Amino acid sequence: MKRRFVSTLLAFVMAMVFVVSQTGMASGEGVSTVALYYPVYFNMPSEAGIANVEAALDKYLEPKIGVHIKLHPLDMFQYTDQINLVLSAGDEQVDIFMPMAGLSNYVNKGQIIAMDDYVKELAPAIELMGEEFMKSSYINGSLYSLPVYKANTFQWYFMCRKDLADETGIDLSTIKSVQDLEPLLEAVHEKHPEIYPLGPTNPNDFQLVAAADGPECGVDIDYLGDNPDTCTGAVIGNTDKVENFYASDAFREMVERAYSWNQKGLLMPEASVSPDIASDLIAAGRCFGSIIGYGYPMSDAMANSGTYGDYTMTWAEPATDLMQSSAFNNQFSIGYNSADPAAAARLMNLLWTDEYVVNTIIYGLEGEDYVIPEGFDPINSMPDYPEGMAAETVPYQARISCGCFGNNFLMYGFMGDVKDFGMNLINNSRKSQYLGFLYDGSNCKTEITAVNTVIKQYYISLVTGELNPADILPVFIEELEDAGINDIIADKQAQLDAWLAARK
Amino acid sequence: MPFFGLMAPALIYIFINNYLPMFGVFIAFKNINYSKGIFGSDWIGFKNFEFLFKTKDAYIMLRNTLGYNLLFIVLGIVLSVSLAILMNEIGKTLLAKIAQPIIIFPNMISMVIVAYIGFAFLNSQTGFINKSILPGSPISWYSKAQYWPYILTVVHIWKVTGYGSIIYMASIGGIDKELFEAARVDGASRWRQILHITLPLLKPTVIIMVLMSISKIFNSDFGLFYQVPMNSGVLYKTTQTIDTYVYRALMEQSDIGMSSAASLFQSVVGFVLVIVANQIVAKVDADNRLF
Repeated sequence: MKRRFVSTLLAFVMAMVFVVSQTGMASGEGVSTVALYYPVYFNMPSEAGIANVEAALDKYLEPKIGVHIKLHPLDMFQYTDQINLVLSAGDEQVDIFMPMAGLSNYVNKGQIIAMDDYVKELAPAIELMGEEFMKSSYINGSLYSLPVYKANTFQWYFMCRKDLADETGIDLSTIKSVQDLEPLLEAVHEKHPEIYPLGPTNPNDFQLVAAADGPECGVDIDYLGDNPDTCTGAVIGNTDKVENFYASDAFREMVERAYSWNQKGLLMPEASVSPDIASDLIAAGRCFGSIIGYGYPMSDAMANSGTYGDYTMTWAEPATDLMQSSAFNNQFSIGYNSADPAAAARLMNLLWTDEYVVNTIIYGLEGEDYVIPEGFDPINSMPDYPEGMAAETVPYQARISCGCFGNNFLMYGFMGDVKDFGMNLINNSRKSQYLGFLYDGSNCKTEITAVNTVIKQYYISLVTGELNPADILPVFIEELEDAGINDIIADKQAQLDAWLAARK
Repeated sequence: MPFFGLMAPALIYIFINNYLPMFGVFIAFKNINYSKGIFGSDWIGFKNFEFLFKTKDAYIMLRNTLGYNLLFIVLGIVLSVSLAILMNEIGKTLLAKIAQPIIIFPNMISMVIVAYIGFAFLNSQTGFINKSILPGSPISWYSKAQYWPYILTVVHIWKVTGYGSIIYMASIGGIDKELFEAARVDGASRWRQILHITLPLLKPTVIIMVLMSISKIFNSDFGLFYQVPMNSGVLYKTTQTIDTYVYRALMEQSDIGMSSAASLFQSVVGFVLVIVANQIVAKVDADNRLF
């Protein structure tokens, strides 16, 4: 570890030298290079594929907005770590990136710049989304980001094997909450004790919190910009009072459910340490189903697109989300070492408004990375891979980045039903009263670090149902208080009060 | 002059790699803001160090780091020296040629792989230990902190002992053969030879190795303490060390001020310990001190 810090420092020193030597050559006229860091899932594009896509985009962008684009796809699951390293090292120019660890974090560290001077360049994108959608992009009145335009709350699905679901005779449409899944899981467990009724969607996560904190749980939980596993204070039930989420009845109910399901054999055991995920387990015939959130409508085609192996899948719709500030965590900002922020803003605008740019970055080049089949309906279907190619073998594709890139609704296949469904979620999801409040934790850095360490110690084992909350919750809460969670809550409360007062 | 010429590449390397970055220690006392630059950021005194001592984790991680390291130093030396002597007694036979690579091999395996080998043993459902050794009463290893001091010690010993013994084998190889011959002529048994020739002559090497280990007593093998317990939160009581705490605490904040503070703390305490240990050695046995 020490060596890593040291090398980071060294890189930092070199970066300073580099930055100083670079400032002389900021391009005043002609073409600016803009580096775009965006996340990609599963299959990283090849070097050659990226170069070809860049060349094609440059041909389009140079006359239009005077920009040469430099694409930096990063693995989604390491995006935050990697972008933080790139930003800390500082030797790479970062023009456009996603501040996924929380906008105010990056603002406090001076890693992103305010975009107030570039509102003109961004006007079409801002108008498209409307001020309502942009509430969480302002800090102290300055614009710092554009949120990804997409369904920003989830419809939660319980995806499961159709043969086993049919066998139980339970009507999936009667399942209206996570708790309603219990009889179904129990029935499957009774008939097939050898398979896990519920598998973890992601490693160590059954989504038994994220899918059970929406309107269906009977009380609005707003994490005030945090996530359930990093929550330093939430408002529960529109009370205007910040409280400790982990000490709340709502959290206790969730972890008691997890524990009782674990005891009944309904959950995959040892999920807190196992790297297994449900889609693999289902494909291998060892698991019945899992809870997963999507911003698009589920269909038989979507459910059976191959993620779950050869089994025919069906689904229930157990939950929706409360729209809160963290719903806008997918957003793009301009980096502090951008050589030409105006050019970056011009490119950013196109990511929200230009069909060609968006689809080229997502799907690559026609003929090389995808082909348009006969009778192609760009509104509702995605283009095909070229003959004999697949997601793993084409030179370039970033298809599954779609959920976190620019304007989702400009992409092939996302302009019709998906857009209608997404707009419905955007317009009709239950919205938190505190939407747009962003906590600035710079006064409580020490406490936040300490509290998060305590959370890491207990959270996963509690939500995977492996520890008995009756024994562990009191210890957990006591340690959180020792670590200073009440100081953070007081600080958060003061900021929330000021924010509420300013709005009246 | 040729002496310095020969030293130059190593000196330059050490200067660039070890001394040049040191000016960055002041980052530990700053609230870093990238727009202001590292020189322009505000001074905040010792605030970056506070998070290390904020919770009772401070006690746990210090206890674990020191406890494990002391145990590893003592066990490591006892076992490595024993192994080296045993290997030496085998001599240059075919058995030795086969045995040496085998005992060194674990050191070449990445900790991530070791973690999964461990998982194959300890997994509560399908693990070797629960299936074959304790079929009646399976233990869920990854949620019982009390077993982990033993597990980690076994894994550590398995991994490093063979490699650690190399330096002692080399020292034993350097001992004048005439000493052993003379002893044999006088009728000393092998055991006597080990006790009165090999061990005393190994003492300087052992002392240097101990001093070097002590300088790292506040650092821990990150892979061992992070990967092998599969980052299981329940086990932190016996697996948390300064390195893993810092990693976990700062992974999300990515705050280089706090990271530098933690690193500086480790270095300073390590430095003080080396000085103290060296003074003690100097008192006890002046010939063998490091400086």
